[in-house]
Amino acid sequence: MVINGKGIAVSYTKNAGKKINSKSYALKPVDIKIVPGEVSFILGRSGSGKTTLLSVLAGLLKPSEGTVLYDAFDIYKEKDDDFSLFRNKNIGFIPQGQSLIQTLTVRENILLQARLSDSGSDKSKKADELINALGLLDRADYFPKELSGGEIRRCAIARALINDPKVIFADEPTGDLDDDNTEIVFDLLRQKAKEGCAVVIVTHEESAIRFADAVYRMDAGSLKLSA
Amino acid sequence: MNIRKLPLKNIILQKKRTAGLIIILIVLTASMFGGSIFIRSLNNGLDSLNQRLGSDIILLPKDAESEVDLKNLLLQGTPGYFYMDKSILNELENIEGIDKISPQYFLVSANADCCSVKVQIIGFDEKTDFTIKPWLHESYDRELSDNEIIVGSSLSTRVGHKLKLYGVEFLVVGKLEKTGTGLDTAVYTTGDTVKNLIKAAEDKGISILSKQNPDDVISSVYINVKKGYDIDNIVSDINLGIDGVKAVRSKTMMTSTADRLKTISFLISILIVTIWVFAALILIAAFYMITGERKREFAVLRVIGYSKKALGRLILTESVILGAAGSVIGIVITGTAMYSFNILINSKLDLPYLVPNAISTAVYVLITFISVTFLGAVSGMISALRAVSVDTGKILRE
Ligand SMILES: Nc1ncnc2c1ncn2[C@@H]1O[C@H](COP(=O)(O)OP(=O)(O)OP(=O)(O)O)[C@@H](O)[C@H]1O
Ligand SMILES: [Mg+2]
Repeated sequence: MVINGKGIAVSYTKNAGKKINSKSYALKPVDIKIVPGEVSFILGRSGSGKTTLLSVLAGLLKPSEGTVLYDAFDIYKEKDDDFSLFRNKNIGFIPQGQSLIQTLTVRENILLQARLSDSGSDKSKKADELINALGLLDRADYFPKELSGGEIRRCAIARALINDPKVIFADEPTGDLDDDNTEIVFDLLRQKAKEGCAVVIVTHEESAIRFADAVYRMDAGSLKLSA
Repeated sequence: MNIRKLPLKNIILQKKRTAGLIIILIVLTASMFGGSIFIRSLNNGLDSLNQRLGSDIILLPKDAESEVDLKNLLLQGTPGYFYMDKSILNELENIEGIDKISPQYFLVSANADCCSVKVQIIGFDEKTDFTIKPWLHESYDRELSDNEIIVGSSLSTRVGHKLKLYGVEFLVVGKLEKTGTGLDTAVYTTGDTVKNLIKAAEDKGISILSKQNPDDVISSVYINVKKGYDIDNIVSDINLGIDGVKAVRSKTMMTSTADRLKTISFLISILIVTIWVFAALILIAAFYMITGERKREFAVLRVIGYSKKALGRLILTESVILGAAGSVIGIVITGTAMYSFNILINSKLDLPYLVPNAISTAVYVLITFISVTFLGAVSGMISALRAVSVDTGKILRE
């Protein structure tokens, strides 16, 4: 699945003092193309618009300008029901920060994404594999409040992978992880790309660039492909 | 992991949040259910009292206290005893338009061994009676023999049992339906048995009892008017034509009570509405605030593929479950309290008070349950609309 962002931009009006409403861009108009089998990195300073771009690409934030196409499929023109189901099955999204449901255990959090569109196939085995791969075996029945930041992060990663998505968006997936776990996560995502996934990773880890097929840099809302 | 269980898990595992909401819901339920049962009980009591007075006109001795005494007897069960000459019955014959006449004789109350309260003893004339026997729990077509009595519903004795008054045993042959008034603690019997009672008291050395013989005096007369005659006219005919008596319309006697009851009902209604409006606003505000607090949770659900509809449904399901649970708990607590303190409320209240029967109670239960659950649903709906109207991406950035 090829994702094509055409002229996408996110602007907002900031009420700066009395009467002066200035229009600012969190994301300046940009074209971006994400292709299957590749890992794209988005680097950039805090506040430069990385999360904004990722949300727009994943169909979670309607851009003020431009369109996002998944192949020929204009996601912001779709009905919410249809695109939600599509997102559930085809997009693995790892949000920045804590993103687990507090009232579900690690295993249940992972399975929630699977059960939402359950077509009869039992994903428990797949869940156990992911739990194992991400080193959460002895935490499977813990609730989020009983986990460390890194464990929460890994659980969110497992959840994003449970439905074998065609596209993966990861917003600083290794932010809370130690070197070993960082390695494991990048390997896993790299592996997914090899299987034909389109993978987009937002990160601060310059050292991880070696995993990337394409590296973008974000600066104050503008995106540049770096060589 | 079944996604249908998510709303229930959210309710059960977020204990503090759930407890807070349930408390608001219980207040709502209690005010609505308890308040309406209370108002209904008062109205029931008055209705039953009016029915039980059972006559168009009541005739009493013409002294200042007798009417007040009778009212106290009816409303509080405090004993009343006042007498007039029996010859009045003959004079009544001369008044036109009278259909039925039945005298009663009140005796100072006695301490019965059955009861913590004093009982009022009422002698009635079985042959002419039309106000007492119709209210027997099971109809009883025999005549009362010596030392047989009929009891009010609050006396803790049963038909076939014996009741000891002044050391003498009396056989209970009938029990009356509940009125919610002072009549519930009365004992009814014939003039002959009353004489036996007086004698028993005298034998025990209790001489405060009336020296007046039920053969010579009566305390009150119940009068029904023939069809086609105006009750008020007959009341004034009696008051003008017969000396030493006062005739009152049964309805008029109770108007001040009815007025008080209306005022009380009105005040309670206002109270219920006020509590309801406030609690409803608090509930809606609480749901709204909780939705604000949960916005990241909801955003995550959207991320993993919940549609707006599915998210709305989740929030609505939670609120309906909470509403239903809160109203059920509230109804059980309020109902238990009201029905178990029924007698206490009754005795502390100088108004007739008769709790509704099972069917009416069931209707109140149903109405309360539906209203409170509906309010839960409305609060949930407002929260759901708020939750789905935000851009998921904006929340994730926060
Ligand atoms: N609706 C909005 N109102 C105000 N400011 C906004 C709005 N949307 C985006 N911004 C601004 O846009 C910029 C980009 O935010 P974004 O979360 O995308 O940054 P980021 O690159 O992901 O940062 P970080 O590395 O800290 O996560 C921020 O400076 C933010 O303040
Ligand atoms: Mg970010």
